[in-house]
Amino acid sequence: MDKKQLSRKIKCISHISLIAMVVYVVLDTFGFFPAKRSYELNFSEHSLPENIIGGISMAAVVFCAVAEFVSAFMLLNDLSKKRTPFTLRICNLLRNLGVYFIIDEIASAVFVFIVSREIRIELFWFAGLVLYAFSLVFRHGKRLQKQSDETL
Amino acid sequence: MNKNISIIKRSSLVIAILSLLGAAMYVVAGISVERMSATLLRNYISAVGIGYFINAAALAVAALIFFRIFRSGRPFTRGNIWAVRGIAGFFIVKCLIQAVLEGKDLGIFKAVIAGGDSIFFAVLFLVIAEILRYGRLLQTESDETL
Repeated sequence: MDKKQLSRKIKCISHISLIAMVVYVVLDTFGFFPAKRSYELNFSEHSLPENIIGGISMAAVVFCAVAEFVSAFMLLNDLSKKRTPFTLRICNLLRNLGVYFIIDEIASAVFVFIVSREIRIELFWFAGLVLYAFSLVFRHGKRLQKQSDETL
Repeated sequence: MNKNISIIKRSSLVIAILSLLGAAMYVVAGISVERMSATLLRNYISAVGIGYFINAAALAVAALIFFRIFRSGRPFTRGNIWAVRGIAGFFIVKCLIQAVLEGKDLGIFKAVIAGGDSIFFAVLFLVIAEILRYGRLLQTESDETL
């Protein structure tokens, strides 16, 4: 398979992923998936510093959730439109997505600990690190792409 | 170029180690969930436990990919492409197994929808595999030019 065909294939699968992501978020918003355990911050049960840290971590989780959706949307949108997947914008979007995942995981772990005194850690921090590593790999790919374009 | 490759190598080693640790944690969690469900509900295989084992397998393959990148400094190789496809395969298998095991209680349609995130991750890993393939073409071109 040559570069043009592969590029077309990447665009096609990215487009499918983009649609799947939007459908998934819509279904999740309207409660189609099994209910997850929810945590609530009751201000009267905690001290002032705990309330402040809990409020900040909750705001960080909400901000990261929105930022993750926007970054992932822009990333898949770029992948489905650009000539090559190795561009500076895509590298930066991948890196940002990784950072948002890590902040999200830390903030939600802090929030859950304050609310319920449980330590609950999921794999978002790991996904964040992997995305960060992939952003470096994409940077290497960007250099190869530049070399290839200059050769032609 | 060399500086970038050395950063890729170092970060790959860190992620390979973390992946292995994550895989070990998932195996332990899977065993404890399966034991608990075997005690509470006799002869019943828990979909959650199976999901944990499949996550452990996916993380072990991820560890292999990042260890290979650490050793060679070349992310765009045929082996890595197949390994990423393998991870996508694990997620499809996870969705199918969970649909079969939970289908009895939820119904097949709801069970497949509940496993929608696994299908989404599978498609995402297939995108990554194709991007690595594209990168491999560029790498080959670069090697031939030099």
